[in-house]
Amino acid sequence: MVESREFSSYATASDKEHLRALLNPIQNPGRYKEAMKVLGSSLGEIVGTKVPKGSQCLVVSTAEDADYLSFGVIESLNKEFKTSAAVFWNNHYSLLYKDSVAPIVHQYLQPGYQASDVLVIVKSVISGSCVVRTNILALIESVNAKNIFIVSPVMHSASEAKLKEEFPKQVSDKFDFVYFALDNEKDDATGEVKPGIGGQIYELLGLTGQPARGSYMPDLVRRLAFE
Amino acid sequence: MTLADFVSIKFGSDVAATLKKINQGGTNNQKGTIFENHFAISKICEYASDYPEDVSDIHVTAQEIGFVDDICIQNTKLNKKINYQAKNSALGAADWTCDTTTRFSWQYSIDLEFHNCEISNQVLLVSCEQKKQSNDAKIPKTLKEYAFCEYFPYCKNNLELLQTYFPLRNHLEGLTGYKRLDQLDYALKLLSGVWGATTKKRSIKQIFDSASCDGFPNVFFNQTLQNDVAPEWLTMLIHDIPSLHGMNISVESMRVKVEFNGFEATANLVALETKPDPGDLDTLTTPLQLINFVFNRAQAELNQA
Repeated sequence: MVESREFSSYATASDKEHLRALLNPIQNPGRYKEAMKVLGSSLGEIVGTKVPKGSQCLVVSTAEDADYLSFGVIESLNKEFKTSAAVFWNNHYSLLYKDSVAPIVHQYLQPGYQASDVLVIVKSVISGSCVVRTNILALIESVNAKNIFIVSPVMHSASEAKLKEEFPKQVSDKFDFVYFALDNEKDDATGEVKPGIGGQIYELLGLTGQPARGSYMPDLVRRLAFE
Repeated sequence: MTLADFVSIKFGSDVAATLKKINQGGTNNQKGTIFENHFAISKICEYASDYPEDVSDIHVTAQEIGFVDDICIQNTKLNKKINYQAKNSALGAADWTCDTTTRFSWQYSIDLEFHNCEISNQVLLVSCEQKKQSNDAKIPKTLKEYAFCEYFPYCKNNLELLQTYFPLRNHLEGLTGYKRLDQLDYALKLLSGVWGATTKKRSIKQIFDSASCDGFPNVFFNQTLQNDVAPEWLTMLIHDIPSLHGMNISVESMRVKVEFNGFEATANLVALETKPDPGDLDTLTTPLQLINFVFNRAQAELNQA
C-alpha cells in the first residue's frame, strides 16, 4: 500500500513514524489528533527556517485542522515570528459535473491579520486544489503576502502542478510547498488520496462531518475570539 | 526518452511531427472552448446586470444550427438576435475572409427570413485587439450595418478572467452583493457549471435559477427581492443583552452576517427569520452561544449539498 508513496527530503524518521500512525487510527481520534499536532509542529519548524526574519505570519486553516495540524504549525512559528490565525469553515461539495467547490460559510480572522506578509496555508491532506485555492483567494487581496507556504503532511503527486496552474504566475511564483509525503494514488470516486491520511479527516478526528455543516468550534478560535 | 522521441525512432520524424500537430490541435480546441465559455458567461452576467427585467426574454445558446453558430443571444421581446463566431487566435485563423462575409450574409438572411427576427447582428469575436482593428477595415460596406468584429480577452482560467476582465467582476459583484475574490470565483464556478452542462437554448433567468439551485450557499438573488434588513428579534436581542453589545449584524446577499472580534458566522436570512422559542432565546446570552445558534440555523441549507 505504501509503495506508491514518496517521501520528501524534509521527512525525518520521526515524521515518517507519525505519518504511519495516521494510517492506523482504529477508532482512536485521540492518538490521531496527537499525531497531527506533532506533524504540524514539525512542518512549522521547517517553514520557520524559510520565513524571512522579522516577518509576520498568517496561518490559514480549515476549521477541522485548526486544533491539531494548524495548532502545531502555529506553536512552532510563534517561537520566532509574530503569528496570527485565519480559520475557514468551507462547505466542500461536488457540482453535478466534475468540478467541486468549497465556499467559505463562516470564518475567523484574527484582528491585525492584514499586517501579515507571509501566508501559511495548512491542510491535513491536499488532494485536489479546491479548498486550498478558495482559502488563498479569500486572502490574497487583503494580505500583501511576499511568500505563500502550502503546508501538508501528505499531498497527491499532481496537486502542486494543478494548484500552480490555477493561479497567475505572479501568485504561483510565491508558492513554496512543504510536505512530508507525496502519494500517487487517488480514489476515482471520492478523490481521496491513497494511503493519504488514512481516510476522511472528519471521522478520523471524531467529528460528525464537515464543520460547516455542524456546530464545530475549534478551541483555538474559542480562545482567540471568545475568551 | 520522450514519447515524441519514441515515435520518431519507431515510425519516423514525419509521424512524430503529425503527432505533435494532433496534440496542438487538441490544445487549441480546448483553448477555443474556454474562450467561448468565458465570453458567454460574461455576456450572461452583463445582460443580467444591465437588463434584469428582460432575463426571461433573453436566450443564450451555443452551437445552434447556423452559419454563425458559436454563441447566439436572442432577445424575444425585441425580436433581436446576435450571433458570434469565436476565433481565439492572433493569426490568420482570426482574419476576416471572403468565407466570413459569405457565412455572415447567409446567417443574416436566415435570421430575418426564417427566424423572423427584426434585428440580426453577426459578430466575429477575436482575442487579439490588433486583429479586431485590422478586421474592422475588411468588413464590406454592404455588411457594415449588421456585421462587426469584437475583441474579448482569452484567459486560461476563471481566476485570470476575473482579474483581467473587470466588467465581469463588476457585474458579478452587483449580482451577488459580494466583493471578495473567493466569493466571486465561487459564483463564476456555479455559472460555468450550468453553462457547460448543455448547449440547449436557455433564458438567462433559467441559467441563474439553475446556478442558484447548485449553490450551497446560494449567492444569486433576484435584485428586486433583495432585503438588507436583519431579523428584528436578532437586532433586538443584541440591543437588549449587554453581553452581546460588541456584536455586529448585517445582511449581505440575503445572508445574515453576525460578527464578533474577528469571527463571522453567516446564515440564510430565511433560516434566521423565525424567532426562537422563549426558552431557547433565554440561552443566547454570550457571543459564542449566539454564534453557535447561527451555525445551527445555517446547517439545513448547507446539508442539501
